[in-house]
Amino acid sequence: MKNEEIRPVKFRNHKDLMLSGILHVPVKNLQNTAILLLSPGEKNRVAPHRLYVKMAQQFSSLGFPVLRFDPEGLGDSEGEIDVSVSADLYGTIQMGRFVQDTVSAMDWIQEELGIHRFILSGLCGGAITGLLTGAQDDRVLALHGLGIPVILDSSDIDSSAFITMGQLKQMKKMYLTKMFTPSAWLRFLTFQTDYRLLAKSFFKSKNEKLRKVSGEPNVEHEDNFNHLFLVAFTHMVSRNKKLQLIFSGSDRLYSEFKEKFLPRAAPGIIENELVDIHIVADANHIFTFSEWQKTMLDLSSGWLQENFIS
Amino acid sequence: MSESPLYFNSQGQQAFGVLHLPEAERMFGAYVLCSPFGEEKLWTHRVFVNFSRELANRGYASLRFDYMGHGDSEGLFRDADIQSRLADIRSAIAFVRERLGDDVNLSLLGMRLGGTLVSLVAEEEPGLRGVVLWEPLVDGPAYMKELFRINLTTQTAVYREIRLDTKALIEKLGAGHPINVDGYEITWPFYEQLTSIDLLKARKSFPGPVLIVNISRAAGRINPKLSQLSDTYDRCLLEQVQEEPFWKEVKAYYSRAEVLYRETLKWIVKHEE
Repeated sequence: MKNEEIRPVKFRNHKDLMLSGILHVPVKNLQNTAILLLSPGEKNRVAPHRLYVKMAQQFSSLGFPVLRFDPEGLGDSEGEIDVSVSADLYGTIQMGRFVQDTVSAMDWIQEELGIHRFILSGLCGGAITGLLTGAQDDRVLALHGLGIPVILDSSDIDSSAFITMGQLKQMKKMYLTKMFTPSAWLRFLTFQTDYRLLAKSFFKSKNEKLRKVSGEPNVEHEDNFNHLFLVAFTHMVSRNKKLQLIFSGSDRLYSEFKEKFLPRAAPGIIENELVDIHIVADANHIFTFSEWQKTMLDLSSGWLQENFIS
Repeated sequence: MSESPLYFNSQGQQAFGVLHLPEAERMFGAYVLCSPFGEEKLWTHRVFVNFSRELANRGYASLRFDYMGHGDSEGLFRDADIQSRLADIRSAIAFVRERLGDDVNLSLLGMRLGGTLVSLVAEEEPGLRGVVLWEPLVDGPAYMKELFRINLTTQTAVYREIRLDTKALIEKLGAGHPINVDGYEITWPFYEQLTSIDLLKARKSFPGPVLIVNISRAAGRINPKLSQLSDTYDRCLLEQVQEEPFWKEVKAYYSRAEVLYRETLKWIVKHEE
C-alpha cells in the first residue's frame, strides 16, 4: 500500500491564470499543516534532479500534505515570463515575483483541504519567495529555506563587483591549485583568464586584513544586498515564526549570507531560538550528491518533527 | 484548446503526461514529444510546453510525458535505462492511440537523447506518420563521455580534485554501484545500453518523412554526424537553425525557440498535405 496519494491539480491565481501542480496527500497520520514547495527559479515544480519530488515524499511520509506547483510562466502553468536574460528573472523573484501565486496556492489548499496553516519551503528562489510571503501572510507558520539568496541578481549588475571574501578565498585556493597545471597557464597566456577576478582574489583578501586592523566597518554601502530580505527576516522573527535555513558548504550563497546579511541584522536575531541554521559540509548549491541530500532531508525532517507534528 | 495533466500506465507504473488538444473540429494529427535526459529535460521544459501550445493552435494534439523515474512519473531515476525509456515511448504512443483513436495521424518528436530514442522506436513501431529529431545524439559512447565529464566537473568544483576518474567511475558502475550525474543516479544497464547506441551503423527502414534539426548558435557547417544520420533515411530533410543551446544553462532566458518552432511547423504543415 502506498504512503501517499498523488494527483495533478490546477488552480487559478490572482490574474485568473491557470497554475499547475502536484498534490501529495499522506494516507495516514495526516497533519493540519501543509507544506508548499516553491519554484527554485527557472526549473519547475520538480526542481534540479527531482529534489522536490524527494522532499515531497519525505515530508508526506511524516504526515504533511505537500503541494509542488508551477508559478505563472513556469513549468506547465499559464502565462509568460517577460525577461530576456535569466539573471533578470532571478532578480524579480528575489523582489517577490511569485509571492501572489504562493498566496493563491494557499487559498486553494485552504478551500480544497480545509487547511489554513502552512510551512513554505524551497531552494534558492523558492526560499526567498517563501520568506517574502511568510512575512506578509498570517497563515504561514514557518520557512524552510535551502540556499536562500540575500542579494539581488540583475543583468545590469556586474556581480564580480560584489563578490564576497568567502568566494575570493575559494578562488584564491583554486588559482593556487592550478599553478602547476599547464592548461591553466595556457588559458592565462591566451587571455582566457578573468584577470580582474584573479587579481581581486589575491589582493582584496590582503586589503581585508588591513581593513580589520583599521577597524573600518565591513559592509559596503552600495552593494547588491536585497533589503527586502532584511525586512522580511526581521518581520518573520518578530511575529514568532520559525525559520530553518540550510546552506551548502561550497555555495557562494552561504558566504553572502554571512558577509552581506549578518552585519546588517539586529544583534542576536540569528541566535534567537526561532532560527535554526545548518551547513551541509562540502555540498554544492543544488545538493547534487546523494549523501548531501540525505543530510539535508534528515535535518529537515528532524526540525519538522520537533516543531510541527501534532 | 485544452491541456490535461494525467497519468497513463507504463510498465505497471504511473507515467505523468500532459495532453494538449486543439479545437475538436480541426485536429489534423498528433505528436508524442520525447524529452532529453536528466537536467537537459528541465532546461528544455518550457520550450516543449510552448511548442505543444503552438501545435494545438495549428490543429495538432500532443502528449508531453515524463519517463519513469523522471519528473512527475513514478519510479526511481536509477531504475530507468535506455530500454525502459523506449518502453515508455511505446506506452505513450499506445495511450494517444487509445485516447484519440487508432486512426490518428501520429508522429514522434524528440530532442537530444529523446531524439535518439525516437529514431530507435520509429524503426519498430508500425503506423507512425513522421519523425522530428531536434539535435539528436547519434553516438551513445560520446554522450556517455559528456555525462562522465559532468561528474568530473562536480568533483573538481567541490573537492578541487578528481577523486574518481572515468576509469574508476566505470569500475564503480560495473561493481553495481550508481554514479551521480548532476544529481541523477545512473547504473550499469543504462551505461551499457547507452554506449551500444550508434545511429549511423544501419540504414533506416522508417518509411515516413523525417526532419532533423541541427541547432547551432551561429550559421555554419552542419554537424557532420547529423548529415550522416540524414543519409541513413530515405525521406529526410536536414535543417540548421540558429538558437542558443537551450538544453543547458545559457545566459538568455529561454521559454521559446522561435526559429526552431517556425522551421519545424513549416515542415509539419507541408507534410500533412
